[in-house]
Amino acid sequence: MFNLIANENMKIYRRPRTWIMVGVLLVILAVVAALTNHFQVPPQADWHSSVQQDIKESEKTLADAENPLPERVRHQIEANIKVDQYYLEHDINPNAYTGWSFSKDSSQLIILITIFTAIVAGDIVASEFTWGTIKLLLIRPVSRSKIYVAKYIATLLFALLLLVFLFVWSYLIGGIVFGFDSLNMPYVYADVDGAVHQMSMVGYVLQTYGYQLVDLLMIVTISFMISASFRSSSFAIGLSLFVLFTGKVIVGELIGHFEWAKYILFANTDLQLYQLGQPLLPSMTLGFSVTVLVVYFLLFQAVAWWMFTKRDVAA
Amino acid sequence: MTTQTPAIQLRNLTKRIGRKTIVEDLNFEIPRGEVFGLLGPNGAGKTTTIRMIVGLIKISQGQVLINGIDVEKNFEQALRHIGAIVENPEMYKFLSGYDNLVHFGRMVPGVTRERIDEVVKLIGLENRIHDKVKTYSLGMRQRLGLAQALLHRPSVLILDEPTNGLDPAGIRELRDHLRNLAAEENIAVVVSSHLLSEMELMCDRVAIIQHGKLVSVKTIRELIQEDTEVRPVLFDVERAEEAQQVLAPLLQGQVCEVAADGSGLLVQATREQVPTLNAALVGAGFNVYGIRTVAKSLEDKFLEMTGGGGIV
Repeated sequence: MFNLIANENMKIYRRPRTWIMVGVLLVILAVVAALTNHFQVPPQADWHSSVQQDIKESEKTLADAENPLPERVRHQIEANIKVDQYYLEHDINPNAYTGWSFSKDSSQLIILITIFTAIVAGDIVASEFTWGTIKLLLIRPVSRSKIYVAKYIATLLFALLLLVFLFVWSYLIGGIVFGFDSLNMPYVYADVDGAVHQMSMVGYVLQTYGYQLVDLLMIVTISFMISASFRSSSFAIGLSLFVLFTGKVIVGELIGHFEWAKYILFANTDLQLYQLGQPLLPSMTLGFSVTVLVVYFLLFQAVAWWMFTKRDVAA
Repeated sequence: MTTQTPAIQLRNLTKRIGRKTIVEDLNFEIPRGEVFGLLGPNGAGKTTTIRMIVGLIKISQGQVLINGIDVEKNFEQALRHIGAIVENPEMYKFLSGYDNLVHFGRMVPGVTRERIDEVVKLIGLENRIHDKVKTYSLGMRQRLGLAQALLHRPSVLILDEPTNGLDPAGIRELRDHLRNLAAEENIAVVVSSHLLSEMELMCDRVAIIQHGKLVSVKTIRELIQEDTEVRPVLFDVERAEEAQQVLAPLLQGQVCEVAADGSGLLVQATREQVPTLNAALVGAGFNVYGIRTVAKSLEDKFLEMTGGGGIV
């Protein structure tokens, strides 16, 4: 198994394409840092008063009897007020842009990693067919299932590599541009019950990564499934990216009208909603979403595995 | 030797796709040390048969045994004994030849770096092995293909259309290679081809396949010997007109004429008659410089047996 994964890795990392992706990630990160730095609002000398101002305005909005707010928005504003008060009490400047802020913001680039990994996943099976090498690959004393697993693991390792790059680079670039002296800065948030907590920034950044990984894993698995089933990398990459960009939009349209929309995969990929206490539908829970995710994941794997191991290699 | 398990056994091998039967009820055995040819026109089912032997496509019915091991039931064990090229040897073009060998070597236990170097030397690719495969000529890719097939010291070597795209020198070299492998390493070699003249020189036995069915399995010698038909034979002999007078009485009305280009005497005769005719000429004091059967090679035999062989 180890040898098989080594083989797949060799085929991924000896291709120039792979390193272009890594390069693009680095360049985009640097550009974002430069732009952020350029447009950054100069730190206010008196941030206390501006936070107090925010609190006052929020309270005014809540008190406005003529325009009653939806429950959800109301909840959100109340939480914001509590967090602001916490900032004042503990003398934390929320507007200071630090290296960690940059790390946190650049976790948005995980969508780029999702795209790159979907490309690799869409290619990893289909290209063997395009190249004709599948006929040499499958006539070894190794079962097709093992080759399948090796290819899937190699794909995930590629995603992991990009994630590590992103994390390390965003820390380094953020540190260089915005300063490393923010290591002890906490992240402050209000939980479902309105209680205010603080956690370390590293923990918060990693948590953000974790939530984004759900989307990544699902999209990459869809791409891998199409690659293994239809043996066409362009189809696999195209369709999985289409799903990535439209899935949530479609769910957003449907969820207000149809209860069954909660069974759609993309109604369940954002697990952070449960931590924030804002599920898409009241009937949805963390357990429900995790179950739906696991069922979809197993379904994708079963289809991909079956198509890869059982079908004739005739072309 | 006689009690040894055959390297390859096909038992009632059948492949159906939908209602169409691509390969029907093939039965034959190939012992180690033999070069065996699969002959047939395009679309006869040669490649399908080979793909079933190496497990690329499912067997609809019947069995393939490699050294007695069932390919379907014990895929990993059976495939350990097989080295193969199916159609063209497509390698990873962005890797070097050497890395391609490392790649395939990793998939079989026991293939060391030393073994890779040994095989590279065997196929004569030492100078270019570290170049990327995309810079290779077709002949070099064929060699690399052979190298990947031999890495794990298989006892069965299967080559689908191995002479495709090779120049005459390359074909001759390949032929010598295969004969050597069969003889010295005691490997069973299976080649498929429609380049019949090559098969005639390369193989010990051939199976002739048409429309997915086995027409016959014969040794090359049998194919040629059982042939009692009259075919044109050219005697390269001096004084052709006089020689014609000597032979005419021996040939009951068979054509016997001076070749139009003056190269000798053209006689319609059976294979059996040739030595008799030669003896008569020599006995009458003529110098015979050569005797050549103008046609009736395996190619003619093949076309005859398959009835011209249209693709169905």
